[in-house]
Amino acid sequence: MRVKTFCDTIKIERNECLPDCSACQEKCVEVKQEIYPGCAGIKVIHIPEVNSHTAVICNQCAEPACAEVCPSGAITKSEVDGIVRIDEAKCLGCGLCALTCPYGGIHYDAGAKKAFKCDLCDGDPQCVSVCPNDVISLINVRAVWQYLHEDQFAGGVAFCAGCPLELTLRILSKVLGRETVIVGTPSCSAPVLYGQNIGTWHRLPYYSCLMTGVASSATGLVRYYRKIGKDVRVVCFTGDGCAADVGFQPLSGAAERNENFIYICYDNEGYMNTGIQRSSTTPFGAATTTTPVGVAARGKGTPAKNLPLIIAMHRVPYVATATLSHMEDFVKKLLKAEERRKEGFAYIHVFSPCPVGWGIESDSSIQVCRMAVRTNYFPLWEAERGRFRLTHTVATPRPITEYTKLIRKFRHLTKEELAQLQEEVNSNLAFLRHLTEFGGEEGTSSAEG
Amino acid sequence: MGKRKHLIIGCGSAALSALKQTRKLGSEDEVKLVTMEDYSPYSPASLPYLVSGRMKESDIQLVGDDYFDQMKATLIRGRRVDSIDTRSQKVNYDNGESDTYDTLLIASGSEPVVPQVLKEAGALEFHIMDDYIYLTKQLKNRTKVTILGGGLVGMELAVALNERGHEVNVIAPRERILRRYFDAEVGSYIIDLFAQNGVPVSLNWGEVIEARRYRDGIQAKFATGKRLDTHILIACIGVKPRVLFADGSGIRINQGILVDSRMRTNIPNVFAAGDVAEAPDFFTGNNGLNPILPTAVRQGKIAGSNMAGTEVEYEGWLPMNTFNFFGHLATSVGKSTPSEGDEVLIEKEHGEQRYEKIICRDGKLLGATFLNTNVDAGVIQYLIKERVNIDPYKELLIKKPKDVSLWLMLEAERRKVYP
Repeated sequence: MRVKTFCDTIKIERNECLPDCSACQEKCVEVKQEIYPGCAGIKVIHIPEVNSHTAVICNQCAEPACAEVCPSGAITKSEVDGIVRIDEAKCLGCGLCALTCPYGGIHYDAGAKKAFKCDLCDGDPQCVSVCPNDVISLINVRAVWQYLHEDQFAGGVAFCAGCPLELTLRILSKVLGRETVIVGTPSCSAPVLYGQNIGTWHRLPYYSCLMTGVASSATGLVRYYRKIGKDVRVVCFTGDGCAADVGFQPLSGAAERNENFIYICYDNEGYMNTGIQRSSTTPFGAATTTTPVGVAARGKGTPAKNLPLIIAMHRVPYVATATLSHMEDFVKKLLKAEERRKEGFAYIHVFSPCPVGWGIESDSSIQVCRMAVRTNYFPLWEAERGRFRLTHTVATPRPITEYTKLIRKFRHLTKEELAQLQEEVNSNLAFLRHLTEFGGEEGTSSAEG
Repeated sequence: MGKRKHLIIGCGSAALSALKQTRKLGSEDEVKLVTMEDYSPYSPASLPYLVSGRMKESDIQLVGDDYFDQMKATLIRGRRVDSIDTRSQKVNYDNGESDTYDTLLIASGSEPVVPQVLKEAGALEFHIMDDYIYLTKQLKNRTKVTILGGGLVGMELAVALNERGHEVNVIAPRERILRRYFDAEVGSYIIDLFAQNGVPVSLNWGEVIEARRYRDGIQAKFATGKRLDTHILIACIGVKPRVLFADGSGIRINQGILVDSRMRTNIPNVFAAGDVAEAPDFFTGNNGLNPILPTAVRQGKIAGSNMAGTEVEYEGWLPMNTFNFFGHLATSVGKSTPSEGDEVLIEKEHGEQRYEKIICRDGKLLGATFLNTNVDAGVIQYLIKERVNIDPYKELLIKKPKDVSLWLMLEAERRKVYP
């Protein structure tokens, strides 16, 4: 069954609230004072006994049980914005909604005989901005789900346990649809895309070439399809080793020629498939098999090459960074890349932790992605023809140690080395912020000059 | 397959829920609803709010006037069903007309049980809109109202009449009130709170043996020897499924219409849902009645899915209710009286009239009762229905029911995604 009306929803990171903080709830009470005194649509839960600190809020369900049960028809789900609202004038105050909602989304005031719930502040929820710990965010589900196509991948694909590549490829195929040709290389993604030995795990045409030939092969494919008059999107899907090192020259060339295809680089910060060797995007301090930790060396001695920035400097129609913890952001960027492909070159750099090569738990990849964003280690941004914009800003950045402690390739780092890595993160972000200041027409023309 | 014709008897919560579900599943079959009443669809649960004066009739309209057009359905009002002929798939009406069907849903609800002797003496009943309209006429110039019956309908009506400014008392035939939802202890707290708010509740009246009209009111004599003299007597003793028209149709009836977990009766294309249906319960799977609104909505939805050809199984009903009286809130979900071998945890503070009780077995929650407790009852229902293991946290749950139940729910939801 397909539900037609999708609603933006509030996402709350579980158990990440600050102990004793109730800023969201207080803000809600303040905002809703006039409509419903003393009530909040969001509730904080602090249970020190089980070390749980979180908040709950209405899910704006697709089939709201509260609306189904309401005996006076006071609760409805809007067909326009998907928000589930209570018409206070029609509300009997019987409390059946609170008896029925399984998720604690209804606030029932027995004394006043009224029910109250989150109405997302009609699309601009005030609780989001007051959260001191970036726990609450508004997820634009509608924009994302409307565009999803059928998944082109089979179940049970042959990636390592916990590898983000599976989800990356599935969402890519769901967003871009069936009329897609993928160009790839021998790499982590090859077992599934190329289907070594047993056949492929997907229904998309796949062109496999050497790392040095990806961008130039894609160029040829695009021109062929143009010649036969067929609108097929060509998508290069390679690791960082191919994009930043081995296949960099053709990539840079294709960007400079402004070829009409999408290039997606999944960045696992090294040659993970061939034995965990360093690449030019391996970060400072990281241990790999070619930058080992010992008497003579302490991991990689130089910082990572910032590939997405370099591609952005080609002043192509679209460049963005993305990661799986911020899925709706990723999907929006895929949609934008698909749109901009018609004008020319589009590039998305996807941060992709490697459980095997980095030494992370196989169930923590998404957590690592999220922490990379929250520490500003991997800022989310996009650049359209050199005009930069941060697509997600972090109100209270976590120290880099919150990120490095999740990953074994950093575990040897001393305080001083960690400080150096933090400095690296800070200066990268500062540089990016400077770039965003060149927004607008003026920035564009001065950069061209 | 061409378009089929679904006929629905009734236009209450179960009927509307079934209609909505068939459309949600994309069915373009013909749907016709027939109701004996001649009002816009409403829920009987909202009638006490009309009595109290909190709401107007227009406020409780369940759906907009153009709803049935939007749903591409037909609603026939003010027509009673006389009989059902399941062999020729035909329903006969009181005006001599009839309708054929491919699928029939019986969602005719329930009707009040009123002893004949009381009916003849002019006692009122309170179940549908007509009863409300008649009651308001009777209430003019008369102040003293007595409710016979200690069930939820009677108790809610007593509160509403008190809010309206009448002198109300409740007389219960048995030794307890609200037996289906609350144990004797909570029952006695509720009686105390009623008395404090000027509504005396007295127990153990037994059966009525004699009743007669007397001047402006009614007099009655009970088997216990007690006598009653009041202006208006409203009988709220109980309800029974409205099944008379199904007699002799071949549809199996016990107290209500017997249905399986897909709301099917013994006749393959005849379904039943809501107060009229005797459906499997959650704990045992045994058939039984559970005439409450959330159950009607859920059963209607299950029936609607199966009628539209999508096989959906019913998880079974749970007794539950929430009762707001004079600013106090009593809520019960699942079992209210423990069986042999069940574990019971109780927290109470009589001074503040607060009471919490949970019943569990093998680490699973079976039921909970709350009086003036800040808790989300729906979340408690979730914990029961999802059979969440609460064993390590039950002491914590009874201490902080709201926060801990929410946390257990969130953890259970998380485990669904990351087992």
